[in-house]
Amino acid sequence: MDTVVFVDSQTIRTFSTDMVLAKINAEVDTAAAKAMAISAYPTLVMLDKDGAEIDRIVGYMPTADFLKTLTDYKNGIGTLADLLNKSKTDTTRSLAFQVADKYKYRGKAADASVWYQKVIATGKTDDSLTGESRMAVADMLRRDKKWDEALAEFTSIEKDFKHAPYTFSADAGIWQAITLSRKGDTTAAITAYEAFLKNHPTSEDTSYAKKQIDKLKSPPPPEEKK
Amino acid sequence: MKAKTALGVTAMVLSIAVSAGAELITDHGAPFYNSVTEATAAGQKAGVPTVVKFYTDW
Repeated sequence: MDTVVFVDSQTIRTFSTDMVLAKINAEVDTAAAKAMAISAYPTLVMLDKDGAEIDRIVGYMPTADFLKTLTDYKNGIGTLADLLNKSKTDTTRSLAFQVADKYKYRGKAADASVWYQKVIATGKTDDSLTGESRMAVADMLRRDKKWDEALAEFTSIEKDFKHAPYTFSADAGIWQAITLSRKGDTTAAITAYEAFLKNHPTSEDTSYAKKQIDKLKSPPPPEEKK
Repeated sequence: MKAKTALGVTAMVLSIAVSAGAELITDHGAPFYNSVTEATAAGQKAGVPTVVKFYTDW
């Protein structure tokens, strides 16, 4: 991003006249990153003149999209406040999903879950938005280290989307294994990776799963005490 | 008197350190601060929003 977006002449103009930019290394200023619930990189948080969050961008964006999103946010377009206002008259699932994502990126899992549940409750059991929402809910449970709840949801998604034309079933399969590994249950994680390879042999994550099995079966030897 | 002088020197050194850490960096690409507080103060003074980019080296 620094080598493309932030050296663009329009970006330089924007941050010279319309907005002020700060770049913070989240590994160094951990307090600021924690205060703003940063969980992915890069994340750009726009603050109003009083320091309150207007909205944020998570992940890389091409320059034109990036500058348009910033300008929209500055003008109050596409922000969480704007979407919440629209939701008073617009009850579509796509808007509810956008609101849910906004809350998720702000680290507000409880609010995000409420909106994802609206999406899930009003759609088919195996449509795309339902799949995205259920995966997001399971992922938030995993991030909160609610291992068993996350595992139950991933297991259920894998089953419910088995015949659907999406990758949610395979994604949920590999996340079960990853969750078990993070939980510290190595034996169950190996079994889950092996089940993933058996059940989803054409998934693009098969080489990752094989590597993880090798790693879990042959952990590096403990360092010798000096 | 001696203590007063020592305190004054410490305060001056701290002030320089804070300013040095928070100066507007303009040598490459879009100008930026490396402090949220200083950037927000600059945004407030100019009446414009502040954008804080969080990154890691990995």
